[in-house]
Amino acid sequence: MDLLTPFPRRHPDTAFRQIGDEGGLVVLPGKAEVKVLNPVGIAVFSLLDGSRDVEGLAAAIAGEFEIDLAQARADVVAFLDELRREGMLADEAAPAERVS
Amino acid sequence: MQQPPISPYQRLVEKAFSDAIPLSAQFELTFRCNHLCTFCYNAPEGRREMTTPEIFEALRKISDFGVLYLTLTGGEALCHKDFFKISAEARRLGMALRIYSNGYLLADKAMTKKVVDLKPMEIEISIHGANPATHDALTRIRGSFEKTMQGLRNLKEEGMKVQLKCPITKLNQNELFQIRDLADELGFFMTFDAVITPKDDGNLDPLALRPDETFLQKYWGEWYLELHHGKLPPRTNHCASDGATANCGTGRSGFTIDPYGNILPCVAFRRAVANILEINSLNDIWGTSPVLNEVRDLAVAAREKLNGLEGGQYFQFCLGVAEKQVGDPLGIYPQAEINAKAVKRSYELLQIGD
Repeated sequence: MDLLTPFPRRHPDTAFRQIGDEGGLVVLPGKAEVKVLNPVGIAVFSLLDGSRDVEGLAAAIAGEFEIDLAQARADVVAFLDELRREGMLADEAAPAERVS
Repeated sequence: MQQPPISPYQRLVEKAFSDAIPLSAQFELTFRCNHLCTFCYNAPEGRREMTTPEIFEALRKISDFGVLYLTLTGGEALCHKDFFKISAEARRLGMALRIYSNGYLLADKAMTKKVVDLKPMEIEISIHGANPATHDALTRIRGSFEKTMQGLRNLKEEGMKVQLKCPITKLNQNELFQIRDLADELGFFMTFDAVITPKDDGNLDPLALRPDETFLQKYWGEWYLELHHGKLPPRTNHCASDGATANCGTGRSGFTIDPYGNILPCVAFRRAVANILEINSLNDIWGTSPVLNEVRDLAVAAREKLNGLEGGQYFQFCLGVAEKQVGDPLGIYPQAEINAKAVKRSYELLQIGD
């Protein structure tokens, strides 16, 4: 995880929806691509509003899904890396995202 | 034959379908249009259409309801004076956009740029012929072919994903390969629609332009694979997967809003459910509306009826067209039967089983 992105935020062009308890879909408009997320993934993605750091995200997920905090932290970091590779996080260089 | 494994995406879409969780909505922003297509299904009632603030209110309710894919259409969506404000609001609310257009106004590069800047998932453009004579005869607007083609070239320059759509009529049925070639040259996906529908008010005049049966046999048999680069003809409606208990997604996987704010089960089955401006939330009606419940039951009954017919699995059947054309949403209308027979024959010739 890039330490320059302490408060990750989903890309403003993404559209996402949860579907029951099964998971959810994320669309990156302009690319016409849809990504399928599992229930944990869609929960994390819905929390990426720029107000939580990795610790905050991990704590929320550990609480919601009753998993170990260390495991939740590792899962969140791996997931954020995946989202960043796919261009689904907001521009990391934007000053607004650095505000804590 | 062993079924291929279902993808995670398909699993979610099927879950949404079976639980009637609507992922998509089609929003007819206006009935105004800069074309005069003789076979158009729109039937404006001459009433006041929603104002832009009312459309914003409707968009908020659609978004709050959890819709992911929003299609903006008309009429001609780009003819709405506030199209860009409305589209931007839909994007701000977190919905992915599809835009249906005739492409005429996209001949203006600045207009194309503004549309592309909305970052729609996809734009679908209607084309009605491979040359000005045919296209303009169907749109009844001289110069419309050249404008639409320029719009398509502009979209290509902008790198936009575009799907071209062609309703097949008597006038263009002999130039489908040339139309497909235009799409290929532009690098755009091409679909043809072999069903011309009555007008929304039940007027059957558009049916006079239906392609004839001899053509349809050739289309589904000898031509389909070649026209679609080896793709097989569909055996189910595009909005329902193989094996679904309902014939289609009407009132289930999506819904339509007309320019007056009426909520309809889908673009073809236009039974008014409620007016979106008169409800607090779509959640208040989606599970309890007698109209929606009846429509969903009819879609299941249609599938059961088709399953009982010889070759029923080859039917692409529309309840809305059936109701308008033969007065019964479960009535078998001629075009569905002709197409199903031709598709069945095509599969038999290719020796592809059920």
